[in-house]
Amino acid sequence: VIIDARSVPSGTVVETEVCIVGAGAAGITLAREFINTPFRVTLLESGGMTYDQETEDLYDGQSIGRRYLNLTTCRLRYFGGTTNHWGGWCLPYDAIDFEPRDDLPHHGWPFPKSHLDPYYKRAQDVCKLGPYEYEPSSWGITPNKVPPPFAGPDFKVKILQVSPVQFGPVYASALRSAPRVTAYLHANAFNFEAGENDAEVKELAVKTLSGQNFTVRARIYVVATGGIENARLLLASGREGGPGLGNKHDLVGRFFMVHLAYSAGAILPAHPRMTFDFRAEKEIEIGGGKHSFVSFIGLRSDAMRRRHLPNIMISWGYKFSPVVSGVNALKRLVDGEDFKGGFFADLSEVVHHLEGVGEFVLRKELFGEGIPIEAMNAYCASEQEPNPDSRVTLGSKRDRLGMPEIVLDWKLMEKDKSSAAETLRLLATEMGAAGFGRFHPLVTDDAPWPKDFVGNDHQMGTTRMHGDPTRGVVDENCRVHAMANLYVAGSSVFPAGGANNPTLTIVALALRLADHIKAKLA
Amino acid sequence: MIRRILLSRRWLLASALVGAGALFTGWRSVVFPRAAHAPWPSAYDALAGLCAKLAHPETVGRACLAALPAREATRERLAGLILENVEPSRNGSYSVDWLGRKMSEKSRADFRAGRIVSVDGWILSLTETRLYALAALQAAEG
Repeated sequence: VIIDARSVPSGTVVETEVCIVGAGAAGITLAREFINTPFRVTLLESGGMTYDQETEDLYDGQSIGRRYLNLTTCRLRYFGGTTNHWGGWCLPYDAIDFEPRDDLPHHGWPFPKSHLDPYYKRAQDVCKLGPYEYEPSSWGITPNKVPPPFAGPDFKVKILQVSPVQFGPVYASALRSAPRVTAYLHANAFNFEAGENDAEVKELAVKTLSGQNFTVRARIYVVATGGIENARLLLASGREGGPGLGNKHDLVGRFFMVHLAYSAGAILPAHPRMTFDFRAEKEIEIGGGKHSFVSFIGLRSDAMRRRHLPNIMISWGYKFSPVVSGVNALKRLVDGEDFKGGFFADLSEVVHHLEGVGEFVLRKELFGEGIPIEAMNAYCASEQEPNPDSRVTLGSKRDRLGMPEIVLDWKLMEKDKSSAAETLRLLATEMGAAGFGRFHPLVTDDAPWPKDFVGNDHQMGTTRMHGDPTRGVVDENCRVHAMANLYVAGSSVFPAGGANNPTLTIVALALRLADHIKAKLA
Repeated sequence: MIRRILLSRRWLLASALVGAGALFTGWRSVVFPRAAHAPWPSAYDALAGLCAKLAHPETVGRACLAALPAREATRERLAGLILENVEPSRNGSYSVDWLGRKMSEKSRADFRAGRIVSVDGWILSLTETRLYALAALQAAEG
């Protein structure tokens, strides 16, 4: 059932078994898991079914550290959450992302990747992906297609799958027809009341922008509002003037991290006509259906250990020879298409590049070669080292509902850049040694980050998971330490962020949490 | 102060293809001052031919020259270093093609051994950097 919270009379008390705050990838996944159970679930969503600026403005806050994205546009606050504008890129985290590492302080999860594998498999279905298979050869990128720099001791080709699922539109109807799941739209979680001891959540105060106030009482509460808002809600809850819930050790909001995205530099291929089949973005028939994948370059795990480097995703775009315009014009002429400037413009383009077009046609026919590539522009997403000084706190300014806005102090370590520089230098060396080409890395030890450097919208770490309450906000079951019935879902529990896109891991953790809660309620 | 010269991708392409011996089909005979330890003088002629074939030596080469230690910046010294440890030709013929292949091998070995130089941001092998630096001197001195 989906209802508009603005129609709920103030003073109403909603009784339920499980209260989930936030209807993004984590919240919707959790709620779906309870559809065929005897348990009542209340799912609270701040927004409606579509984008609304007033609601989005509740994300506003202050950024005082390294410049970060606009806080009101890098997340989406309506049913389906940020999956309403995501690219759908999915892949599990690498085994090394879960490992404690002496060379990366605070790195590591309380369990290995193998523990999460069964949930990753289930998450594939939730995200409507292909089989749980991430070996490039299974997707047609056989070893013979991979040139030496990316088949050596340091780098390898990796693949990700592309999800077509926007969680809101895709799963709304299933939730709407679920009798024991009630989703409230326009319902903003405002404060968890946890009594004097802050040991157990008694109830949750909910507000709407139109002025309604009501209460949810549940046996279990799950906060699933995103990598920044999860910390905000915990910090803003509990006793008046207190440190917030789960914050006895001043850890809530710390370790804010994202993936570092930047142009990595120009690659000059030694042979402009070399085959780049190993760098593919396409749809193939696999596992009984058609599924899309993207391949990219990554560091091997043993290279990361050996060289003390964090994880990284490396990709590139192509700068084709100018002859490409002539070839495209020729294709339009052959296909009879009237495109661009019309017949004569295309003919003129072909004539202008006659020599190159002729060579292209000949080589295409004889060798199956494509258009020559002049250069590639590489770009990266690299892992940020967990940093306790990078944090989210509450400011004095309040939003329209009266909740304190966040103050984001995003900080990097010196090693974040030096590691990126070292990785790119290594890439340049491997390319040169293999005769693949030459590389002009834009990240170096003695230069600032490239101009387009940005922390992307994968916010993680602010309620990090650790078995030791002095080192983490939630335990290995995602339960807030010292809180009997409060859980956190989403990337805020990631104690290490890897470089891979986080949503599949978010969904896998949500499935795991659903199993845990069901067992607990039973 | 050393003037920084931006390198275009096309020039670097030529550099990257140093090893593609087929590109170097002819050579101009320029006699280098001989290094004392060079056992096969005609290799120097091939080296001169190879340098003459490199594109844009006045810009790329000057950038490479600037990236090398000042003590290397003579034609004799550079030629000696470039040809150092290059195995002599089996048949005694030292063509530009042959030397191009040798330079390619040596460049790859440089990369494997970490003998790399950053030239205006491009990561080049020490050998190809010296080669371009030599080409710049050769072009300047005629």
